[in-house]
Amino acid sequence: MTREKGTLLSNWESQVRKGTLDFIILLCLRKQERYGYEMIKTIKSVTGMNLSEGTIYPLLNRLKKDELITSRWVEMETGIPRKYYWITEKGQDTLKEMEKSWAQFAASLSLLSEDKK
Amino acid sequence: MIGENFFKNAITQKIWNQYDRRLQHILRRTDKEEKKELLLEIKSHLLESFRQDPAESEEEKLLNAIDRLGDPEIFLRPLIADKYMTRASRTLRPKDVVKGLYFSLFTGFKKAFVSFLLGLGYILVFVLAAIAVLKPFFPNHVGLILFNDGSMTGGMSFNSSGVKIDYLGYWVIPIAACLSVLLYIGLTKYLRIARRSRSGIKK
Repeated sequence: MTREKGTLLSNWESQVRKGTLDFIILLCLRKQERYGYEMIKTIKSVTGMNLSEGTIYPLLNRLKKDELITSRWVEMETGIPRKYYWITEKGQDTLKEMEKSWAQFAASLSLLSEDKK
Repeated sequence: MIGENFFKNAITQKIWNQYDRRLQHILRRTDKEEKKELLLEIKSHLLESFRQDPAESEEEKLLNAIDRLGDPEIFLRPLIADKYMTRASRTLRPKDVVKGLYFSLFTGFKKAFVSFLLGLGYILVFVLAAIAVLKPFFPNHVGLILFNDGSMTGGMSFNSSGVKIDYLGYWVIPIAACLSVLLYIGLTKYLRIARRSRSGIKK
């Protein structure tokens, strides 16, 4: 792969991943509550996404305003408090819809891909 | 306060204080409670990141943590734009509208394009208001006018061939003023709707 193609692909991947960050955050919170730093570590390790860590905070703020997630502060022994987030019922419902939509989208792309073959 | 006198090294503490000042500055217009909460959350993140950084020196650990977190002027921009847009759609104050547009211009191409269109809309508001104000002072140059040389204007013109037909006459004043006000309210109300539908995750 040429260097230019590599850059194009990497930019495309980055755009796709960033565009689905809301979805990824909700997925992260589906089964357990997490704090911001922990969420970023998980997202980075699972998706390989190279994002500026601060990007997540305006998103968390918005998801909270949309009542898809909620939060609480927990005092830690280290003296550094952590803000834990968890998904609300409304968030769970939205996540289910997102998953359906994602699956449909992926399936239609597969069809297109197969057509080409 | 979190992070205050946290570091052993004076230079590291200085780096921390500088970053704190940048955060305080960018968040200066947000609600007091929200600002307090965001500051605490971002600082808590930085300290966690600092603690887990493998670098040896305290200074390097903090610089790495800051580097990973990013520039607050950039990553907090969507949040600030959102604040001004919300406020502008509520208060209809031109100052808030301009600030909302300014911050939105830097938060993605789509938003920038919408902001550009909104900007054009606000320019039209200004032009309509100017027509209403200037008509009494320049009756032969402002309005919906057909000139003697056959050219026509729907606004302002410095054509000196003389007026053949002034279609609206002084009615252009209330019409332009009303259109200006209605357009201003319409555009600003649109900001609220755009803000609500922006997330793309609502049904």
